[in-house]
Amino acid sequence: MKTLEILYIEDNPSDIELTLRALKKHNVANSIQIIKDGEEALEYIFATGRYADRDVKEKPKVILLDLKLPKVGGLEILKRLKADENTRAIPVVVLTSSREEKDMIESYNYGVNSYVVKPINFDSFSEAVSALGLYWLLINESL
Amino acid sequence: MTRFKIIQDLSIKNKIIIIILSIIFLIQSIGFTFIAIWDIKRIKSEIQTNLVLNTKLVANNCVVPLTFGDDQQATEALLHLKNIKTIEMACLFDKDGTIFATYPETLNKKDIPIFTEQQNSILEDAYFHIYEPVLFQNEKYGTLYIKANSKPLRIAKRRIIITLILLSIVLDILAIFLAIRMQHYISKPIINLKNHFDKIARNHDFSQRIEKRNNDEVGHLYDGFNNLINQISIKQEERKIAENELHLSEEKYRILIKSTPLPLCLVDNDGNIVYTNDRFTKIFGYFNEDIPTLNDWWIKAYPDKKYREWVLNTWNDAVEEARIEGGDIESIEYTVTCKNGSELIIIIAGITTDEGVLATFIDVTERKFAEIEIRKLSKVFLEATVPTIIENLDGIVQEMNEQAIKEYGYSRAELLGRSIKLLVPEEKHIQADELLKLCRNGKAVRNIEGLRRKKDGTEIPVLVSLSMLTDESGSPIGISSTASNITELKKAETEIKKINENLEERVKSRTAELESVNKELEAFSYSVSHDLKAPLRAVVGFSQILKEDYGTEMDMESNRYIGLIKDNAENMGALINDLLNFSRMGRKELQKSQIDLSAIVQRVKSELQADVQDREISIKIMNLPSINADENLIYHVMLNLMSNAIKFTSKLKNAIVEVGYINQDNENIFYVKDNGIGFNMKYAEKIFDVFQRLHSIEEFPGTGIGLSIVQRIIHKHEGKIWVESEMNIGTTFFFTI
Repeated sequence: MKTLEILYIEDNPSDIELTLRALKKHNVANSIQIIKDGEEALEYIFATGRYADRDVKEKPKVILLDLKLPKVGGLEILKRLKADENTRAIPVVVLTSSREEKDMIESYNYGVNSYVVKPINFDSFSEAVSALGLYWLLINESL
Repeated sequence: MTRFKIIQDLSIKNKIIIIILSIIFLIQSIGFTFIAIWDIKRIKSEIQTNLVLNTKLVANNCVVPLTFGDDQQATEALLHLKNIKTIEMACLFDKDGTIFATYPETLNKKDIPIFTEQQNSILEDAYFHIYEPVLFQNEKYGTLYIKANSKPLRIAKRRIIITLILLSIVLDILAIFLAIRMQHYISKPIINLKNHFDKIARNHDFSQRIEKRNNDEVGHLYDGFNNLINQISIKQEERKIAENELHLSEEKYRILIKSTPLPLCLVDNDGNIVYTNDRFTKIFGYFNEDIPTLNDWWIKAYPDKKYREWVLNTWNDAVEEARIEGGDIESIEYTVTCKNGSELIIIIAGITTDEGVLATFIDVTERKFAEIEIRKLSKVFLEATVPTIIENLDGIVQEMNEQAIKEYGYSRAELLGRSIKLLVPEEKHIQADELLKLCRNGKAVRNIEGLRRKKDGTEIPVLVSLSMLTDESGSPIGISSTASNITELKKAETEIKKINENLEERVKSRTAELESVNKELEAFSYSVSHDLKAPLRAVVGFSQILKEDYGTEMDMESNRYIGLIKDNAENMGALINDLLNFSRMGRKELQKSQIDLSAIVQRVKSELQADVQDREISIKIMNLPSINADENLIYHVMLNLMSNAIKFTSKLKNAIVEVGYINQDNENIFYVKDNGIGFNMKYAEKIFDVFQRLHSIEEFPGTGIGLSIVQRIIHKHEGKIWVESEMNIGTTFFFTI
């Protein structure tokens, strides 16, 4: 099994498709796991529930996280990730439409590694996504 | 006369000396002359006697020769004469007068004297001539003549004279010496007296006495003198004391007049103001120099000509009357204008004297105003629309106003002397007593709710206020009691209470509504942030993808449509972003700090570098002062204003954008100026409204929210922002922080 490179938690299918296209276009990611709701994401990360069989030690290189998710919100996921010793080291990039200061401050308080506001313009969006993919996957040396 | 005058002017000492010496000289001269004459006579007769005696001796010796005619023997006899040196010649005549013998033997014929019978002896031509008869037994035999020089007499004379002169000199010296010595006894005490006089005259020191040494007339003179000086010095002392007392008393009166709390002014008969005291200057401000004459006073103190004339006539009449009747000048009230222009009401009175007029001034301005005040107040009291009663400290009615009579229905006579409780229902008597006590103890009793009962028995709700009335010294003399009827007020109050109760509920529900609306709004903007942008992104993204993947298969028109979809969606995204920013700005707390505006402007300039890359544009930035503001927000302001300036100059070839400030009235006014297309100033207010655009999107792109945000930021900083613009000349945005 190939090592998981990106865990992408996002519920908007259009954004998913656009993101995947952007990443593919720049040949950034080969292995992307997409999860569309917050609860499922937590189960996946901590290998519980539906993902109980998953090897918990197999960690993604980076997590792309939307803030507005069904059931469990992105900020809650971020909080749980950064509170757990086993998952704390995984870089988390918040990828959201929200420019709200409240969201940004909370994200950084929980220890987010990057906060990216999705641009409307597709070129800019595409650039932003591939740039952060490049950075976190290729340039950043993770533990 | 002059000689005597000189003597008269001589000092006593010299006078005495001269007198003594003169007397001595006189006596001495007389005495010595007498002695000299007498002595010389004696010597002369001695010499003569001697000569006669010798002549007689020789004549005796000549008797024989003559008798015998023996001339030889006669000559020998004559020769004896040679022992007497003075005898120069001798002749012996016989009885007939013929020369018988001579001495010396040979004798010149012409020297022979004339014979004379007479016996005599004379002194002639400095020679003694002696004729002596030669007698024997009373018979005359001849005559002997002897001629002798008077040398011894001359010598004796000289000796006497010299001796006397020497003696004179010695005596004179002695006399001078003595005179000088002796004059002391007389002149010294007198000189002493005179010196004493001089000293006293010079020093005016009458304390010295002259010491008495002798008991003579001068001594008495000294006594008299000392006595006199004593008298003078006593008189002097008395005068000094009197003068001192006079001076003290003058000084006392001078100070009294100068500082008396009553303004005074002294005018002489010529109309000159000769004196004004301190209080005069204090009250009116005029110094004596300001008003040297009465005329100056009239003009300055009564600048109004008509009033001045009245004052002049009134005053002059009053003075005239006082002169005729010899009394005081009548006290009359005048309005005096002070040096500083203020007006005082002054009662001027005074007295007339031979020298002029002494005027006194009494400032009654305050009293006058107080009177007016009291009159006003009593009018207020009497005509007040609130029933007011004046009671004594025990609550006994002493006075009341019209309104009290009208309101309570009692007559004045019915109320006077009765307790205030007459007007209070029984159940409120305790309260009335307590209020009275409070007021007596100096506590404020203001608008206390109470009740009043009218004569007809109806009760009215009132607000009672009690005030202590005091005399000048502050001791209480009575109580003023007002009771305003609050029947209407009470009704209104009940109404208001009801309304208020409703209002409170309404405010509560409104607040709750507002809160929920606010929450909804917040949620709305949050969801706009998230949800509204996602579909836009999808529209933009998929349009792009469509163009990328199938652009070549579609015709031009299709491609254009796709482009339009994308552009509009992007625009909408920008709009949403700006709107969110705008609403965020309203909620955000300012994070003020001292920020370097120049640095911010430089940052903005580099940010905007991309927009001006291919343009001919000069961006001038002044050195700006630091300001106390929110850095992020000010950055936003500058970004917006400068990008606007760059945007609206984009069609110019030589665009100039200038960022600077001016200091006006200690306030820094910052500005961003461009020479762009400008706009009509009638839209100057609109330009800050949300979504307000003055140009089409095609001409100058933008959402129309930027300036609203800028204005909001400036207002949040309690600053001002305004714009000046002219079509095709340029636009300048000014703001203060």
